Amino acid sequence: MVTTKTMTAETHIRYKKESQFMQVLKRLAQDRFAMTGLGILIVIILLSTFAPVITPYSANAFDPKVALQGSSMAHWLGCDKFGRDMLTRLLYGGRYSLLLGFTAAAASAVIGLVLGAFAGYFGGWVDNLVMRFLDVLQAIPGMLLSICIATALGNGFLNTIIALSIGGIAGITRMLRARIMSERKSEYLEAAASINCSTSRIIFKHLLPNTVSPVIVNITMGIGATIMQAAGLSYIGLGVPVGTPEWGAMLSEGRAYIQSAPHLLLWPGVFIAVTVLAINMLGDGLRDAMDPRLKK
Amino acid sequence: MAKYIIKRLILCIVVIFCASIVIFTIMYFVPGDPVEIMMGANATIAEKDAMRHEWGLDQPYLIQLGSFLYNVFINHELGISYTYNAPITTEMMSRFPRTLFIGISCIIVDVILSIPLGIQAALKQGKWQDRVSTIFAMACVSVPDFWFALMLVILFSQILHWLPSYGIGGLQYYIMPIMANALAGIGGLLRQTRSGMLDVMKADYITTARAKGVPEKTVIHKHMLNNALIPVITVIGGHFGRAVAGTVIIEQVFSIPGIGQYMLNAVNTRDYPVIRGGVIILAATTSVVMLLVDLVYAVVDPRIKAQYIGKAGQ
Repeated sequence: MVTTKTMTAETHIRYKKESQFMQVLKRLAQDRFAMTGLGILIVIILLSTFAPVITPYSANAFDPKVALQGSSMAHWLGCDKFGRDMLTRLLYGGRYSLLLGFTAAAASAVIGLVLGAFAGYFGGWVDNLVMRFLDVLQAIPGMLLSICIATALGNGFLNTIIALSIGGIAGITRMLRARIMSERKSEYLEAAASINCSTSRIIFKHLLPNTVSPVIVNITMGIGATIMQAAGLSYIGLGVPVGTPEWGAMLSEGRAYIQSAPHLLLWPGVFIAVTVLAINMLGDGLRDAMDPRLKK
Repeated sequence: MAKYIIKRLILCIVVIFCASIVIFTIMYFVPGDPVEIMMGANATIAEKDAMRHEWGLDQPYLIQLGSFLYNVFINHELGISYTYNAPITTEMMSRFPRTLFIGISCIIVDVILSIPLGIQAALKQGKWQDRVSTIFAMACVSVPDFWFALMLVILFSQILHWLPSYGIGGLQYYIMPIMANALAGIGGLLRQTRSGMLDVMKADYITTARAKGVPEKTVIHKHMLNNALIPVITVIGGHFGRAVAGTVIIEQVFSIPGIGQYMLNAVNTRDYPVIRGGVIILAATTSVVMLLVDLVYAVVDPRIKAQYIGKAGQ
C-alpha cells in the first residue's frame, strides 16, 4: 500500500514537470487509430525513400515487350504503356507526391502563421489589410486559384508547390488570428512587454507557442488535402512535367487506357487514398490528443 | 435587416471586383505571347503586331486592366477566346447551367446523406454506428474525387454497363459526376453535423426538456435538430465553393460541356481569357451563394437576427 502511494506521488510530480508537448505526444501514442495512421505513413515514406533498393526495375526504363501487361510475378502491379513497372513508378512517385504535399503545406503554414500572428497581434489597419486581402483570395475557390497560378507559372516541381501553397494560407491565417485575438490581453504578454522584450520576440517566443496548437491539426490535415490537390493538378496536366512518376501524372497517363488496362488507373489512386487516409487519421488523433475534452 | 442585406451585397460586389483584379494580374504575368502561340511561325511580324494591337495586348498593364474591368463589370463581356475567336460570355452562359446543376445536386446529395448519418452518429456516440460513420467520413475526404470518378466509370460503365461513361443526355449521364463530386462534401458535412449535435446534446435546455418529461422523440426533433443544424448551414455554403471548383476536373473526366471543361481545354491551348473568365464566373457564383447562405443563416437563427437588428439600430 505504502509503496503504491509513494509511486503515485512520484509519478504525479514527474507528470507536473512534463511539458505540454510531451503530454500531447503521450496521449497520441495511446491512440490506436492515430498510431495506425502514423505507421502506414512511415511505411510509405520508407518505401519511397528506399525505392532503388527495393525494386530491381528503374522508374523510367522502357520495355515494350511487357507494355500494358496486368499483374504478374515479375511485375506485381503490372506495367504501363511503355512497359515501365507500375510498382516501381508508384514507389518513386511517393517521393514527388509526399514532397509536394509536405513542402506546400509547410510553405502555406509558415506564411499563414506569420500573417496570422501579425494580423492578430497588431490589429488595427494591419489586421484590416491582411483580412481584406484574404477575403478576396478566399472568394476564389482553392483549386481554381491553384489552376490559375499553375497556368501562369507553367509546369514544374517548384511552380506546383507555389500554386498549391497559396490556396492554404487563408485558412491558417484566420485560425491563428482568432486564437491570438483571444490571447492578446493575457498577463504573460504584458509581463514580456514590461521586461522590454522586442515585438518579434513577444510574437515568436511567447505568443506563437501558446496559440499554435489548434492550428497544427489544421496544418496536418492540410498535407493530405494538398497531396490530393497536387494529384489533381498533375492529372489535368498542370502539375509536374509529363512523364514524371507522380501519382496524379500517372493517372493522367493511364486515362487513355481505361478500357484496355484499368490497373493503370487503379493503383495510383489507391496509393494516394491510403497516404491521405493515414495523414488524416494521424491529424484526427492529434486533434483529440491536443484537446482531450473533444473526445468525450 | 434591409440595411444588413445591402451592406453585404455591396461587400460581395467589392470582393468579386478585387478577385477579378487578382485573377487578371496572375494571368497577365503568364509567360509566352498568345499571339505567337495562335499564329505560329507562318505569320509575318507585321501580322502579329496587327493582331496584338487589335486585342490591346500592346497596351501597358494598367490600361489593359482598366479595359478588362470595364468590359467585365459594365459590358458583362469577359473577352474573346484566342482559339475560337468568339465571345467568351456567350459560350460560358450556354455551359453554366450544367455546371450549376452539378454543383447544386452535389450539395443536395451531401445534405441528404450526411445529415441523417451525422445525427445518428451523435445519438449513438461511442457505439459501432458512430465508429463506422467516423471511418466512412474519413474515407470520403481521403479519396481523390477524380480518381473515384474513374473507378465509378470502370465499375458502372465497363463492368456492369449500367451508366453511360461520358457525354450529356438524360439524367443518367449526371449520376456518376454528381456521386464523385459529392464525395468529399459528405465526409466534411457528416463530421460537422455530428459535432454540432454533440454540442447541443450537452446543453441545459435539453436536460430541462427531459426533466419536464418531454418524450425523447420530441426532444430530438424539436429541441436538438433545430439548434444543431443552424451552424451546419454555414458549412454548406463553404461546401458549395468546393463543389463548384470540383466540377472543373469532374467535367473533364466525364466530358461534360460545362464551364470546367471549357477552362481545362483552354489550359491545353493556352487560351488565357477563357481560364480567366471561367475562374471569375465560378468565383462570383461561389460568393453569391455564400452571401445567400449568410442571409438564410441570419433569417433562420433568431439570435443572429437580433444581433444584426441591434447593430443596425446603433
